[in-house]
Amino acid sequence: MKSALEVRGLSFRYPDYPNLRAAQLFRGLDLELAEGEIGLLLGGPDSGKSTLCRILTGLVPRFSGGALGGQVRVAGRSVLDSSPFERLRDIGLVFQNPSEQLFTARCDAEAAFALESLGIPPAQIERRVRTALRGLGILGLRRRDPQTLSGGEKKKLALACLQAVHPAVWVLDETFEELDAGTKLRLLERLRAAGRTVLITSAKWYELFGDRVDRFFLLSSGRLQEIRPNTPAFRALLRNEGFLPGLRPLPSRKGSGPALEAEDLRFGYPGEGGFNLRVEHLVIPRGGTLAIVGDNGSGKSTLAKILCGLLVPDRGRIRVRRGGGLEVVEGEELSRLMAYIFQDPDLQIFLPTVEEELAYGLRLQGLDEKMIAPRVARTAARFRLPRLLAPPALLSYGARKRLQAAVYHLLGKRIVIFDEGDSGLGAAEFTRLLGLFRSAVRGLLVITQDLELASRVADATVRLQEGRLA
Amino acid sequence: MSGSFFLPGNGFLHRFDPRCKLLLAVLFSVLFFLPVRLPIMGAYLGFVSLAILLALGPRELLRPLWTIAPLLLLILLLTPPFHSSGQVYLRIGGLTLLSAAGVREALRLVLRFTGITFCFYALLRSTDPEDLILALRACGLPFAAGLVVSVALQYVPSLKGLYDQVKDAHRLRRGESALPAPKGLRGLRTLLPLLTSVLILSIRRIPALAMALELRGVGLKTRRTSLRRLPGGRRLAASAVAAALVAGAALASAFLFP
Repeated sequence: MKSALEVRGLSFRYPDYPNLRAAQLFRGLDLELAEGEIGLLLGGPDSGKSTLCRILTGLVPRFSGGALGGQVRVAGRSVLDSSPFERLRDIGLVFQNPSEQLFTARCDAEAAFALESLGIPPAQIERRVRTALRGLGILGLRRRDPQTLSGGEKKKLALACLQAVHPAVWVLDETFEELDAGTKLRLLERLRAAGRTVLITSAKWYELFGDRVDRFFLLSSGRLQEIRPNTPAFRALLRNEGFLPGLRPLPSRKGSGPALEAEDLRFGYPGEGGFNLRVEHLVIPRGGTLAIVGDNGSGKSTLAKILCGLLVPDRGRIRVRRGGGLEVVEGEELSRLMAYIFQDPDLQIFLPTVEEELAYGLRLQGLDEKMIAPRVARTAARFRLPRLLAPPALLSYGARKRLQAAVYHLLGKRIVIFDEGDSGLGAAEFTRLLGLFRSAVRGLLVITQDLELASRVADATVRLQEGRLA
Repeated sequence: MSGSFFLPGNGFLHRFDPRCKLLLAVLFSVLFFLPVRLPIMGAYLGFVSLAILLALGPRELLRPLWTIAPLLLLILLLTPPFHSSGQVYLRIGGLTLLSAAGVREALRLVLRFTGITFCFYALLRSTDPEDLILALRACGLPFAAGLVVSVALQYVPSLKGLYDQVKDAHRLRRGESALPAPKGLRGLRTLLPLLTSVLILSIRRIPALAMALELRGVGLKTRRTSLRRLPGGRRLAASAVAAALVAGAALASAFLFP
């Protein structure tokens, strides 16, 4: 069969930056996908999955600098011989963080943009855009501003943009994370039916990959190896490399009563198509973990923002355990007690170095610098962060997520909310992070799309559906 | 988080042709700069305010006013002392703080600044950004320049959204034992880390935006098509006639009552 994607002897190294010396990321990497094949590339956090995706689409080293060796051919053409905009029909990419690739003011305009660049007649654009948006279940959102969508909806829109162009090779960088289970399944089946070549990267193993993907690869320590699925060795590898949650659930330090109790919460966004949140009763168990699962756009992040005092509910109350009993807490006081680890780490890390990020909250507490330094160093080691003087903006997505979690670990908040915290980290690494928090907080709330993960790490799981607890 | 100035709606400003709206916004901005009499300038502002009030509602009239209120206050306070001719209303020692010329000049600047703000607020609030690019292109602007204008226009509200998110993130960084947030003038100092964070985050978005644009074909030499088309026929004719009447009346008043 004809090769659609061909990588031979790929090596890459980012340029050095002040306080961040780059290491060799890939060495002699080979990868080949024939036309119509679906490949899954499993790699842990920081293994270079996003960099590889960007090399395949010609964005790296074009926009990043760095030393690239070897050959990359897509649809028979070398990616080094042309610009990304010239390969629109050959290859397309969905970014790990889709917010970075959406830039228009309407969803339909976003999906139409590449077709307009290609000079497709308007009637055809209209048809293709509608089909793409309907296929992803977001036709109803076509007039919405992409920046107002939830994380999962943004991924669906980025997929619709690709679907509208329908390039020969699709590169999906951790796209399956943050998508609800139904969408994951439909997407894989559509890709299979469309007969396009697809490379999916993931830090997590989903069972639905098993019989819907043709080739399996493992990216580890800068090298790529093809692996055979459905063998005992494969399951062991998934577990050893951290693509599956651990075998045993985390030990619970469950006490009696709730750490947080929310009653009769009501909230509506003005002018947001009538979305309303209504939660009658929600409890985060004391010393335990509650998981919230739900489809994209069901209101999970909105609920999290209410619980940590960033949004004021129209009605209802939130009680948090302080001292001996539960007390009604609201507004800024609630924000002081709760940690909310956003879906997008880049919105919570903004200082020039890892050390300054970690120390910022402690300095706000008026702690002495002599006390801050050892705590920062200890936390950096526990969260496997690189050098303290490294600039966070240049860290990998996984490292930025660990840094984001480390910041809140240092603050000693009572209750911690992880919003899609497993995305970009993989199940095992996320489980490890939860373990670091478990001993220090009174309650954890985990928002995830991964039902298996939820069942392993949480004492209870609730489903949010169109703003209601099901 | 809001990423755009545009407020979807169905008022007459929304139905008005974007090309005509753009030309009227530019024309009125020029008129606000002309040395016309204060009552004429007041009439221009009254007309634009009435259009916003009727098409978008009273809240949309107050919103831009509220945003520029600190600047208007500064203009009202700082302009009069620099113009001391005419009847003196307030003098301390040898310094004239308020005179007829000072009041006139302060009013002129306030009307000018408010008028131009209202013109572009009405345009951006009632025009889909995609239509605005089409209108700019119809007026002869190349696509790349139109795209830059559109991205820049979205960048301002997107910065506001970013600011809100960063503010939330900073708020969450205050632990239970954090020192109380400073208030008053000392509280202004806390703005610095917030603004620095917003600046860093917005700069960090630039390379990703450049990548996203290339992946969607920006750079191709192919003649671009457009999913959206500006209205033609009766709607364009009605808008053009209305715009011509408004423009004619505004120009006539400027030249007949200099």
